[in-house]
Amino acid sequence: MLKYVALRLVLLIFIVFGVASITFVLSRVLPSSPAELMLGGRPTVEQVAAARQELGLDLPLVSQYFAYIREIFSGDFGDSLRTGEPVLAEIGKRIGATFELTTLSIIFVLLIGIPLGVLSAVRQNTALDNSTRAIAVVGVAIPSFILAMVLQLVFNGMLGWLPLQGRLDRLISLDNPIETVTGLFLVDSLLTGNWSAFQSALAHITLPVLTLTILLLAMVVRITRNSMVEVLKDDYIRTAFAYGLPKKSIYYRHALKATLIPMLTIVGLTYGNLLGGAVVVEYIFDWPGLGGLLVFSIIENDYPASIGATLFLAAIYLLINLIVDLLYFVVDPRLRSV
Amino acid sequence: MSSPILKISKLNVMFPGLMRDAHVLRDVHLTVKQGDVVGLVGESGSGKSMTASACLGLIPNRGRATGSIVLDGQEIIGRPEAELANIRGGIAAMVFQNPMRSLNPFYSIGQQMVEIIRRHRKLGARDARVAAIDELQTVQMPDPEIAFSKYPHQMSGGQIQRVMIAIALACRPRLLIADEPTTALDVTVQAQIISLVRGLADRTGLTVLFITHDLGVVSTLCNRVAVMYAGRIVETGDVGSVINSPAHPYTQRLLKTVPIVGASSSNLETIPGQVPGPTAIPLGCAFRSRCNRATEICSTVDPQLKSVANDLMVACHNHGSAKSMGKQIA
Repeated sequence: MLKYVALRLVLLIFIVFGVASITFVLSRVLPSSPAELMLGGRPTVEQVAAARQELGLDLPLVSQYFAYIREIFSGDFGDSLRTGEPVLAEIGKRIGATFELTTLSIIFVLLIGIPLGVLSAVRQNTALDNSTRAIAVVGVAIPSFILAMVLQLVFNGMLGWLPLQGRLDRLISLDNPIETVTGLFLVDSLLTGNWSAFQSALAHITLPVLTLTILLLAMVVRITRNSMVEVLKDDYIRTAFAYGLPKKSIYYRHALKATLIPMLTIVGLTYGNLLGGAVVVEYIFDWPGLGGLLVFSIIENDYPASIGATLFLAAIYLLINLIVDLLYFVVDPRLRSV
Repeated sequence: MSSPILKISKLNVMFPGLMRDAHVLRDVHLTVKQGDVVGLVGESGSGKSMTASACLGLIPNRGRATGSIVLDGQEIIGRPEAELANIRGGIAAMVFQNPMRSLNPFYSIGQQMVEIIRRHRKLGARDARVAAIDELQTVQMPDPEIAFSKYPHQMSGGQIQRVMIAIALACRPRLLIADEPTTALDVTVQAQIISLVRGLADRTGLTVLFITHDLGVVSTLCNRVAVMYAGRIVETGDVGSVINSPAHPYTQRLLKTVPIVGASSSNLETIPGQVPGPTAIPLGCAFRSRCNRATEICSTVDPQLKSVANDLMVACHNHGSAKSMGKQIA
C-alpha cells in the first residue's frame, strides 16, 4: 500500500517533467515575440535585443531548456510578461476563485445527483426515471455558454435577483474588503464575520454554480442510475431483501457502495478538468479563476504564465487522479488485500 | 400430529408475456411440518427456486402469484411488503446457491451478520456480535472471531455457505429454506455442508426445505421429498417410499439417471426429450411426451396430486410401481 503510493508519487514527478518538456517545446515553436510583449508599446530594436538577453532568449534552445527545467524544479516559474508579477502569485490569486466555484458545484451535483440516480434506478422506467433521462439528454446537449447566458437573462435581466457577473460587489470590496484566510470568499467572509461581503459573494457565486451544476448533474444521475441498475441485479442484493433489511439500507448502504467505483473515476476526472478552469463559464461570468489566466496568457503569448498555469493544472489533475485511486482502496476491500 | 410450518396450496405463479404468458408454478401443493427436512427436487426450470422465493414473497415484480402460502400461520400471498420484511429472515431464512456472490463484497462478514441479526432480534451492537460469533461456532467455522472480521473474498465458497447458514440460524427462524446450497461447491465441501445441515436438524429440530436437483443428497439428508416437473409437484411422500418405490413415471426414470458408484457408466440412463418451457405447457399432463406409459387421458386431463398409498401422493393417471406397471403392459 505505502509502496504503491510512493511509486505513484515518483511516477507523478516524471509525468510533470514530461508535461514541462512538452509545454517548453510548444512555447518556443510558436511564432511570437515575448520580448515585445514584455516591453509593450513600440520598442526599439536595441530595447528588444536587451529584453531577449534578459529573458535568455538569445541562448541556444538546449541551454534555455535546461535553465527552464532547473527553475521549475526549484519552484521558480518566472514572472508574467503581461503583469510583471511572479507566475506563482498570479496562480495563487486565482486558484481560490476556481476552487470555490468548482468544489461547490461538485458538492451540489453529488448531493442532488446521487439520490436522484438511486431513485431512478429503483423506480426504473417510471415517470421519474424517464424525466431524469430527458433532463440528462438536455443537460448533455446544451452548450455551457447558452445555459449560462439564459440563466443570466432570467435571473439578472428579467428578475433582477442576482448579479450578472464578477465575484463580489465593487462597493463591498472597497468598503468591507474580505481578509484573505483561505482565498475562498464564502469561507473567509464567514470566518471574519463580514456578513455583507458573505451575502454579496453568495449572490455572485450562485449563477455560475447553478450553471456548472446543471451541466454536470445529468452525467452523475445517469452514471448512478445505470450502475445501480446493474448492482441491484446482484445476488447479495437479493440476500439483503431475503433477510428483510430496510430498503434504505439496501439501496444506500449495500447497493450504492458498488456504484462508488465508477462514480469516483468520473467525478475525479471531471473535478480535475473543472479545476483547469471551467473556462467558458468563468469567462461569461467574469469569474477571476484559473481558466481566465490560462486563456489570456495563451492568447497574448505570455509564456511563463501559460507554462506555469499548465504545469500547475497538470499537477493538480494528476494529484486528483492519485487521490481517486487511493479512494478505490478505501471503498473496495478486495483491492486492499491484494 | 404437529401443525405444518409451511402449507402451500394451489400456488400458481405466472409472468404475463407479450406473446404467451409464462406459467412458472402450476397448482403447487406442499406441506412442511415442524422438524421435517423436506427435499424439493426437479430439473432446472422446474420451479423449485420459484417455490422457495414465493415462500418469502420474493416473486419478481412482474410475476403474479395466486393461491395460498401459509407460513407459521401467516398468509404470504397478498401481504404488504412491510410485513413481509419481518417474515423474511425472522420466520423463514434462506440460504442461496452461489455463496461467493451471496454476500456484499464491500462489507465484512461481521458487519453483514450484525446488520441482519439486529434487524430480527432486539440486540445491541455488542450482543449481536456475540450472537454472530456464537452462530459461527454452531456452523463449525474454524476461528469464528477471525472469520467475523474477514471479507467475503477472503473466504472459500464452503466457508461462506457456513456463514450464510449461520446468518440464517442467527435470526432464529422457524424454517430454513436452502436453495441448492451445495450446487456451486466441491463434492467434499458439499458433503460437509450437508452433514452440517443434517446435524443441525437432528440436534435442534430445525425444519428445513432443501432444494436440490441431486437425488443422492435427498436420500442422505431428507425425511420427506417432493418431486417437481414443469412447475408442478408430481410426487411427494416420505423419502423411503419415494426413493424405493416411486409411483410417478418421472420419478422412476429420474432415479435411474442417478449414477451409482461402481456401476458401469454405460448403464446410466437419460430421459429423452426435454421439459416443456413455462410458455408452452401442453394440455393434459406435461410429462406425457416423454412418458412411456402415456395413455389417451394423459393428453386431455392434467392429473392432480392425489394420495395413492400411506404418505405418498402422486399426480399421474397411470401411476404405480415400475414392476407392477410392467406386468400391466405385458
